[in-house]
Amino acid sequence: MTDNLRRVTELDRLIHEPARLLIVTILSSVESADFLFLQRETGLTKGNLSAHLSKLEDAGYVKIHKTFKGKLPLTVCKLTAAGTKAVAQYRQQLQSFMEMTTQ
Amino acid sequence: MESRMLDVERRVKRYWYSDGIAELSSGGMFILLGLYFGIQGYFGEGSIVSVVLQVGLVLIMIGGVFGVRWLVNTLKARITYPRTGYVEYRVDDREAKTRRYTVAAVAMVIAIASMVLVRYIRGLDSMVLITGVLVAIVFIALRGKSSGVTRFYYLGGYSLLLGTGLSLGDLSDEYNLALFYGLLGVAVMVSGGTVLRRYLRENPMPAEADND
Repeated sequence: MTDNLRRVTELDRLIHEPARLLIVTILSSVESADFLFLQRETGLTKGNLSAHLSKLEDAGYVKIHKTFKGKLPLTVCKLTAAGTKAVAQYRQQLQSFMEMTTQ
Repeated sequence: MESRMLDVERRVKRYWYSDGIAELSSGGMFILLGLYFGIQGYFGEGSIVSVVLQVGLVLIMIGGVFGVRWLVNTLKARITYPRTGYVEYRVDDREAKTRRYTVAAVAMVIAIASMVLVRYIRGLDSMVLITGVLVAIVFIALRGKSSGVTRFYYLGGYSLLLGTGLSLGDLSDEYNLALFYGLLGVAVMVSGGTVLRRYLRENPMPAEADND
């Protein structure tokens, strides 16, 4: 049990937060997605989503690029290599923890 | 938790089909193919028109693939992205590549098996039957199973029924294929049109650019 608890504390807290986990899960399944799509999929407010994206950007997990598609302003978000690695590691840790607890 | 993450990933994949634009475009392509076979059937084998059309089929197929891709991207940029957001999907996804190769291999095995089988069934038009089976496999295995969109299973079933039904008739190969692609194209377009109508009703255009 102690070992299980230790494994939980080893989880990346930045990703473990539910809203951020949702954001990185969405971004891990695509090449990139814009702010509007992330807002609709996560159900977060603009301010909330901005704050979470900033934290992920500061950690080097997400790259944010502001551009235009025609006349439409686009804020495109993309998972970096470090972010992709962190998500994969998180999933692996979570899976091994689940396996241990169900044994 | 893991299953919820997988649900999110599936939902993101389904987003591509949420507006029906891809179906409307591919439905148009099917109708174009139907017209091609119809014209070929009308002029008959050996005619100059038929020879020109046979060469033209390659151009129609290649041009169609690029044309459909361009049309889908243009329509999505105008209709979908301003309403519900922009997503760029990975094209060189290893899982997608493996799935595509597997489906292609299965489709080839089924096509060969069908060809061998239909030789022993008199009065059956093998061409339209095999086409129906192959298109059904594409709809069910490539689109339905990977995206989890239920309507592709229905379209796959429809293709199978259409191919089987037409194979029992007395029409020539060309007219059978013309009817098959034409009717399939109409069904795919109706499906796409219905989805697009619902999408537009549920997602009105935002009053101003609302992207950050």
